[in-house]
Amino acid sequence: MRLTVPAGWWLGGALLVVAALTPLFVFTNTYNRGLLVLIIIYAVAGLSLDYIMGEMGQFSFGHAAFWGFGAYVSAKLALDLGISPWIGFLAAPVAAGLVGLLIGYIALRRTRGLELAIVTLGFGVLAWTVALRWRPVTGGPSGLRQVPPPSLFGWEIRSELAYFYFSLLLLLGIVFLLSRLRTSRFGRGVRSIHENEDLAKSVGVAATKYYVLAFSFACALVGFSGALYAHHFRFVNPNLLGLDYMFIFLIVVLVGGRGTLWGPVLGSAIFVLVSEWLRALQEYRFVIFGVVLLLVVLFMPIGVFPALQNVARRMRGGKDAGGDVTPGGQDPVLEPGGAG
Amino acid sequence: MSWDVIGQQLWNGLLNGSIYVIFAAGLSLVFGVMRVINMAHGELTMLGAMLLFTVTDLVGLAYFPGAALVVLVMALAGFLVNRVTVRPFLGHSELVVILSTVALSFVLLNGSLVVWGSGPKGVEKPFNEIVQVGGVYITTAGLLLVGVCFAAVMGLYLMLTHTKLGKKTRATGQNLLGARLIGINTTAIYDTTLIVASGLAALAGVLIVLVSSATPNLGQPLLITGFAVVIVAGMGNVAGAVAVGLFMGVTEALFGQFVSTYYRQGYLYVVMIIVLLLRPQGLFGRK
Repeated sequence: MRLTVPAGWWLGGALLVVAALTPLFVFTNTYNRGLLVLIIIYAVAGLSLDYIMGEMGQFSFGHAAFWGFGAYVSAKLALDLGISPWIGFLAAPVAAGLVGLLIGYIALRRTRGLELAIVTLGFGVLAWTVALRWRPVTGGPSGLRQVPPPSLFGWEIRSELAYFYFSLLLLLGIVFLLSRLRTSRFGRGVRSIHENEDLAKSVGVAATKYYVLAFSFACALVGFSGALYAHHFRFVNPNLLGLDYMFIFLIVVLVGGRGTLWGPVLGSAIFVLVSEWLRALQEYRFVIFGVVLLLVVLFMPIGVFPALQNVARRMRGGKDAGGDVTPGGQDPVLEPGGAG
Repeated sequence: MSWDVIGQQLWNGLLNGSIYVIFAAGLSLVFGVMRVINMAHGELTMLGAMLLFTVTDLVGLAYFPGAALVVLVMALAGFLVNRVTVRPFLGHSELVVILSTVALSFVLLNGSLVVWGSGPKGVEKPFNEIVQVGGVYITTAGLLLVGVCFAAVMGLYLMLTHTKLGKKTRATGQNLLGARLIGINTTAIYDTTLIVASGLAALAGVLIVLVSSATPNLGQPLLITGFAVVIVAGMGNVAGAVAVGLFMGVTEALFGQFVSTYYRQGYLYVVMIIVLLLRPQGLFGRK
């Protein structure tokens, strides 16, 4: 145990203070404040994907499908049944979590690693196809419009600023929840399977059960992020379940830093702001974005946040922690046993 | 429903299936040898088709020399793909390689949209007579497509099983460290693997334009179908990918005709999920 506040929380805290102040000084118009909300929504989605990637050491290519699913659930409840978005914010993660439980049970019983990535990709594409084609329920390619915003005592949280602070609070709560979860018995169990599944099993960790539950939890969290999206941008469409958002979440996690709580938050801010700055370049921006992404991966494979942490540590005279670099058995010469 | 309709769909399915076969064979080869999911494989096929459009339509080459040139250039580009987006990341997690190839596909897709625009481009076919066999209409260009696919797959098979290079490649895929210990230059094998895979991807691209048109958006759907084929066959199993690719192409066409055009791609994934439930290692995979 150490009593000093870890570098991560200092950096993360600084990030939050900056975030909380920016809409007052920097992002003063509605459009830019909308970007801030988007940062938080992607950050929550990134945090949940990072639970799979960083804590479980696995990968889900169907994560955006759960995000879109959560968005549809909440939007559908509000539009068809007139149910308050607040209930939707609860119903979306519950529904996404239950579906995640089922799919996790199917996929995680047998597959791990890259196989799991492709299996989840399959589920994701299937969900996307259904959202696109099941017109009576999903509204087909154009999706659902006029999704109502949440209201608090008769006051609709409509303005970008109000929604920003509302979701910032939620983000803080989620980061706190995740930090507690990581050190809980369950979280340590999940971590131990990541480190060495056979060893974890041998000391009595029910590996598949833990993994299925952890997967379901991550799906619930991303479903919640989807509901946040639906009630802020006030529409849902099948693209939300598609690969574009999947790539965005992947970028958020890997650029920010895998296996770090604040990494995805920073990664989300970087993604949204960089793609916004590149907007001036019009159609070239995605080309340049790809190149930037490649360079980031090349020079900071552990992600930006762990790299910053290392800088902070070095300034205090410590050593690099190296971030979460799990050699995937690519080079057995360096890593006998493969699993690290 | 008549036998003619079934026959026509079988033929259409054979065309698609042949494309799936060489596409998935390359994807599977890279996975089997290098344990790398190449997210840019679809864009390599797309580039094959778009470059063919450029060299035939704008430069004025005929189909065959144009296609040969494109496949050759794209095969050599496979070397760059390895050196720029795969090799530097092999020391890290497998996920990092996914991200770097995603980045590459981002660059290639959006670069192509800038260069060519999103509209479909037709390519002059070398010959395009329609032959009627029974009630089924068969195009000669389609016959060429199927023939070349089979030749390419046979070539790949013979290369893997009967040449020294093929044996070294398989050895590298089975055990990287072991292969190095017995003196195989695994770096060169990785280069060759991506050269071959990239060439196959581009070949799929130059063949696709025989039956449909070239567009920068053709890569992503193909990649997704390719994954379904690869996982049903068993990851890394090239021969299995061939059988499953054909099967998927034909049954998908029949499904589209008789069940639902809308859920065609969904069908492939339902098959994939059922196979996974019953036989998680894939139909041809070994435990």
